[in-house]
Amino acid sequence: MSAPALEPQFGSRAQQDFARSFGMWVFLSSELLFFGPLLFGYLVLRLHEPLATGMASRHTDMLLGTVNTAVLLTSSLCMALAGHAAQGGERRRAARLLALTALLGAVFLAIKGHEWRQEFVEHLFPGAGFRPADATDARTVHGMELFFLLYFAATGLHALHLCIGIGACLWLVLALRQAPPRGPGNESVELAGLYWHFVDVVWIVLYPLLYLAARSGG
Amino acid sequence: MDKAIRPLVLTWLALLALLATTAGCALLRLGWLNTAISLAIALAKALLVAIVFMRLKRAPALLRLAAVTGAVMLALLFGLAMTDFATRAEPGAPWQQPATVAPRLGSGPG
Repeated sequence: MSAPALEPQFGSRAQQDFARSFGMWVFLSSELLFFGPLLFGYLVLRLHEPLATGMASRHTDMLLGTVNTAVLLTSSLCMALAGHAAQGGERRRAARLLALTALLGAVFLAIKGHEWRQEFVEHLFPGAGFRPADATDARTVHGMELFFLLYFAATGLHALHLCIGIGACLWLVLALRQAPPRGPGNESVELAGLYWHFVDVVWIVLYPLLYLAARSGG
Repeated sequence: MDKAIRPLVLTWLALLALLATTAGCALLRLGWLNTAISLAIALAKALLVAIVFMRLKRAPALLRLAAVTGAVMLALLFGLAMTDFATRAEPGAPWQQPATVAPRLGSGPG
């Protein structure tokens, strides 16, 4: 099998691969800062309205959130195995594992969509119709509304990233059929994997903040 | 099992074990320890994914630096922003809807 084309600006294939990984890491670092304001907003809300945050957090579905976390962690394992297979030149095996990764991503989105539907039905979407069942005074309701504003913004932005990740997986499944230089090189699975794992890390951080805050009532 | 994929599978098992631990601990009444435990476990999981799945363990120094820069930058911005928010009794104005702010009439103490 021939290797992918060496672009003219690189001196060697190793340098080209390194530049691609480096570019991906720089992009992921800026992505982390993209999520930063949501995390900071959560920190400020939690410090100023701890009781309302806890009350609102107990409205989220912890069982589905935990199952979803396990689904996403498993998808990351599949992605890591796909990267390993591609590194060894087993492109067909890598494509199958990538398809499984995309499938698990879709399962995550389906469960998340079901949760969103539940929250819409319970009038937990911020706006004129926001009416939590255990609402007491106006200030608590307002704090809870801010929590759900952050909840929908953070999970929505995460779901958008996951959609892009699923798209990258599916594209690679199709593109890996063609041998380089027409098709992508084996290291492209590694790059898609970096993005996928980053999206996983974002969820790992969101899960305790959104689902576990004051879950026990303590 | 292939020797090279064993660390990947072991990491996955560790991640699931940490998930079960954090979910279980969240159901116990531990006060402030609830938050501390869940954040510590989230950090451990994120580091496992970054170091093993994202191959930072074997990455060149420049890649590790690029990975850490984002986190350091985020911590710096959190610290700088907290100098404002931590010294206030209320969240800043852009977060408040007009209906929630008491009207301020006259020149009395706000």
